[in-house]
Amino acid sequence: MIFKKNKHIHSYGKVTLEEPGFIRLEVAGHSSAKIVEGPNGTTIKVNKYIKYLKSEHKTVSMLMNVKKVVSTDSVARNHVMTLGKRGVERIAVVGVNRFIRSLVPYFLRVLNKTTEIKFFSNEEDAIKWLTTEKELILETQDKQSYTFPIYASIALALVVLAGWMVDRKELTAFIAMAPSMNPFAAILLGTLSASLFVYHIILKKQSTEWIVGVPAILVIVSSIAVLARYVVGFDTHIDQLLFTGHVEIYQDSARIKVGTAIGMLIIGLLTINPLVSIKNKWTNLLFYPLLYGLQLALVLAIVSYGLGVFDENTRSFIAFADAVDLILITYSLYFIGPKFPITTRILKATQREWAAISVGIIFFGVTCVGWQYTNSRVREYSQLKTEAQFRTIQTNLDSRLTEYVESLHSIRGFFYASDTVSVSEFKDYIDNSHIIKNNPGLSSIAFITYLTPEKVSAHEKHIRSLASSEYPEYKAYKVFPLDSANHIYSLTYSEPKNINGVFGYNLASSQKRNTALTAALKSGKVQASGTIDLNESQYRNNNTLLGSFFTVPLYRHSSTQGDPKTQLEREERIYGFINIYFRQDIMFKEIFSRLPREIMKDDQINVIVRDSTTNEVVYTKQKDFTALEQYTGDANTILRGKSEVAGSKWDVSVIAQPAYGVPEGAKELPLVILITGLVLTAIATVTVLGLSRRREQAVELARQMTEDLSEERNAAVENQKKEEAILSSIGDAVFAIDTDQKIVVFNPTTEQLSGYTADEAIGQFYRNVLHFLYEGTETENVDFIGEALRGNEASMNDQTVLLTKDGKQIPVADSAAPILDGDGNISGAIVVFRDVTEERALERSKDEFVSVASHQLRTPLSAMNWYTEMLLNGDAGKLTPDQENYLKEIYMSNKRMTELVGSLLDTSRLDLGKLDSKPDHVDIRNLITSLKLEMNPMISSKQMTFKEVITTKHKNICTDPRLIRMVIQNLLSNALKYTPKEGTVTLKVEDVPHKDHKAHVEITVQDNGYGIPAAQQSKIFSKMFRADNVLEMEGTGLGMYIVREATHKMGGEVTFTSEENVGTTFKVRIPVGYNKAKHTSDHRGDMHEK
Amino acid sequence: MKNDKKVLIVEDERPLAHALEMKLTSEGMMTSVARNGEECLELLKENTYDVILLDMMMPVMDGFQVLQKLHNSNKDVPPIVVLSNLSMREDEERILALGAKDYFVKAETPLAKIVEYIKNI
Repeated sequence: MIFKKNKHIHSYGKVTLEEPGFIRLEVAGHSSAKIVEGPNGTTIKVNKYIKYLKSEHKTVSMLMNVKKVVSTDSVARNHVMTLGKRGVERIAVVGVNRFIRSLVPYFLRVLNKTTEIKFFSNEEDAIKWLTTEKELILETQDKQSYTFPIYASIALALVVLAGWMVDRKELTAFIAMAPSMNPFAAILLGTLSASLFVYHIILKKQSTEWIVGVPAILVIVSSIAVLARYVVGFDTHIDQLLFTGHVEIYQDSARIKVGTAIGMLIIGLLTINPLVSIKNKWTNLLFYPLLYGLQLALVLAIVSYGLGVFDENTRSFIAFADAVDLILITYSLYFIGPKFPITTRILKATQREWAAISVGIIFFGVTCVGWQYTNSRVREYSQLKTEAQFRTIQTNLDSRLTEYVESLHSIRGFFYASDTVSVSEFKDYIDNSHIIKNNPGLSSIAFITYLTPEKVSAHEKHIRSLASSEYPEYKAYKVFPLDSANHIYSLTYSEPKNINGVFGYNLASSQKRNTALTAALKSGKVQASGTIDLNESQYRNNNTLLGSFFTVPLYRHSSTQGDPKTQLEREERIYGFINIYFRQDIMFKEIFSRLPREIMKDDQINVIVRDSTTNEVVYTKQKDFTALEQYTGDANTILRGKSEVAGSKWDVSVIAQPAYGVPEGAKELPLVILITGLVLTAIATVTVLGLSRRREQAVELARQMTEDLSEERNAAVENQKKEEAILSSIGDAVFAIDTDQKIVVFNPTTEQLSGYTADEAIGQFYRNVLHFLYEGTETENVDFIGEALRGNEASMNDQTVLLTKDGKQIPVADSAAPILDGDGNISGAIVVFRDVTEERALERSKDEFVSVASHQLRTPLSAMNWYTEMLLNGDAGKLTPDQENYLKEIYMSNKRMTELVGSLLDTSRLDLGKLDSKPDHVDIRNLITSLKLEMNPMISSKQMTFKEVITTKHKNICTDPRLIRMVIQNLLSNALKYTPKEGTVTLKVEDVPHKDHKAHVEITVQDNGYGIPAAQQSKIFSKMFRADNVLEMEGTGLGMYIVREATHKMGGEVTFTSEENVGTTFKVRIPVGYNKAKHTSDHRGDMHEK
Repeated sequence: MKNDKKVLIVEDERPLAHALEMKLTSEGMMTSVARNGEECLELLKENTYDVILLDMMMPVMDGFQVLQKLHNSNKDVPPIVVLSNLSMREDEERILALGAKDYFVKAETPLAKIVEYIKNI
């Protein structure tokens, strides 16, 4: 604490502009300077001035000259806080004292390290520092501001690149213009932005706004390109430059893309808008609603993605990516665009939680990559598995058909072995070769005779001739139907018979059959019929039985001449065909029955076989599953293949559900990864959020604690100031020492008296500064301070002087008291003293007056006394009775006058404290005897009865001899005076019960005189009191006052009872101290004793 | 009890000195009067006295100085009875401390008392 006697503390704050370019702020007291005094008496607000300087790209500096102690540091702190927030980059502080030094932490904290602050002892140095070496200072706040976008961009770029590497185009959608941009564009964008940012930081030539500007331009260009592509068509040149060719994946998303492009275009324009300083009303009207809408879209996208609302993953990716992009753009805009409370709040939150958000994005990105990767692996596995099944099916089909063809060839061989084959031989051959049995689905083998119309009747005749019990059908053998065709293919025999129609049926009449047979005839090769109704020739049977046949032509002389080489030759040599019929249902059933059992049971996969020629479905594994084939989504794997054997063409389709064939568990892997990843993302985000919150809370807590402390401190300073003011205004010297006897308080009066300044004194051992001496000695008086430090209040000795700095001695008086802290411990002592020079002088003059008065008044009185006495004594001759009487009157009056002077002196001395009790041993009996002798003349003259009852056991009592004498004398004198002639006065001295463990004696003076009127009893101890009923009598009116004062000085008390015309009883009770040290008798008493 | 005691009256107040002189002389004593302390000391150099009646407040040299000097001297000093109108306790104490035999407040002490006291010395 410093107590400076400073009457000029007042609130003061002056701000002026200085060239070159800094603000001078002079502060003192509670000032809050806000106005700059510009040149020519102009004024400008500090705020605006700083803004102006900043717009001129000048460093804003401030010279803070603290003229006087800024009364509380909070005021100075507020100054700096306000100015620091407005962008003051440098503050030079002059006029440093310890109050200001204590502000350093505040400065540093408040200014966020961007503001430099230095302390100087003089202004020149400060100005020098302010005006030179103005190196650039990067604003930390800006750095922080860009932290989130940078981290987010990196995270996004990682996701995009990861998507690119695993060839998941969905992931590349994380960049703006989502479905269309390729990684190259993303990298270009990122690199450009980063380069500009670095350029800005290093060279600081470009406005940071262009960091936003570049993406904005890219957004605009890209959106226009997307729109152009949509208008012109999908394969424009710009596509190849900017976009990947995965348009077909999003066949139905063209509308989305156009919508996105339009949105992007608007955003791009809005983004670039503030850059070219067209901050118009429409920006606010259009941009912010859109912004909030998109932020809402982000939330919705994330939520819907989490809820799986979208059936196509990519769309939620797009929504999410767009929203993230928008956040980035919004974020950037925050720093260049107009600021609205809600935006500010949202973005501040984003900025505060950038770490958590970044972590969340990175985790989410990794999750997505993992999910998509496993998903693709699962699909791949499923596709491979499906393909394998497909191959098996195809192979089985091919081999079955090939076997049929093989069988056909072997039968032809049988026919070629002999030129004529009888029906029974044919039958035997079929039976014995087990052809039908060995070829499932094969229903019959038939021999077809080739006929020309003219040969029909001969042929019919011949066959009828073969009729027997075994072949009764031949009896009615007739070729039918016969039409205008020039060739006839007559079903002559079939084994087993009657299956494929009636004998004699002309196959040429059926178009499919005719086509196949004719083709076989002409090519000499096996031909397939395509799907036919096997029951077609059996009129009696209307049920369709789908089947097919292979046919091979039989030529004459083939065993000897070989197969005919030309078509002509074939037509010449042809005599018939062997047909193998088979039922498709049985055949396919057999084919699939040879596939692994799980495929047949698995409803995850379907197989569809079509006849290529007719596109008729000839087989489906699951009848109700056909619709799957029509589905063009990428959820199912669809494999298509063609089988062709001997002109028989089949389309085979295999359709598998997603993840077909993937083992259980592995099938769920992508989902597990997704869910786990999302959970981990959430945990990581929340953890980081919590950590940052906790850190923030800690920081906040620390800040609050600091604030509280500073508030407390301020309050303490306030109190201190109050105390300071009180102490300063006190006329008495006040100083305080701590328990180490070091001075902690030194008020102005102390400074004046001692000659030392507070600065010199504070912190010093008090005895090095303040020398209290016993008057007239060199001995230091330290007792009273020592006593105070022991916890007792103590007074200086009356004769204490203070030795001042320049060697003078000033008489001082007063006291020391301990300082107790809140717990009652002694924390120091406070000493209050004052200069008593004048007091002493006054006292001396009073003393002198009293002495002089007593002397000067008494001298003539003595003369009158003595001469009257001598006259009365007859020393000047005998007196006449009258003369004697008159002289007696003079003598008595003179005596009264003497008494009056004595009483006045006593009163004066009592008032002046000159009659302080100085206890000594007083023999009470001696004293009374002496007084009685003195009173005798009055007693005898008034014929009074004086009774003396002394019962006290104390021979001596320890009290002040003069005071007790004064008391008893006055009481007796009073009693004698105010009691009529022949009255009785009784004096008693008795022991009374102890009070406060001290022995007391009680002196009672009782008379039966006039008494004191009841109405006046309360006044009897006042000065100059005289009872109404005794006014005619002599008396000074000081007696009772003296009695009471003297009694009190002895530590006793006086009481009385009185009744008018009955009498008065005074009781004086005084303590009896035992002290046998010395015995001094009453001198006057001694005289009378002798 | 001798009544022819030689008494030195040191008193600057003429009426008082005269009264004392008259009274003591009438009682048969021999008196000398000194007007101040110096005269008192002068007289003491050449004469011997049985009693000194000493006033305190005197010009030139006051009673305190006289007491002080006599107190400090090695000579035999006759009993000194201080007759003064000073009645302060400090004065009284100081007077007694300086070797005065007794002390009386003049205004409150009848001549008869003084005479009797001197006679009793």
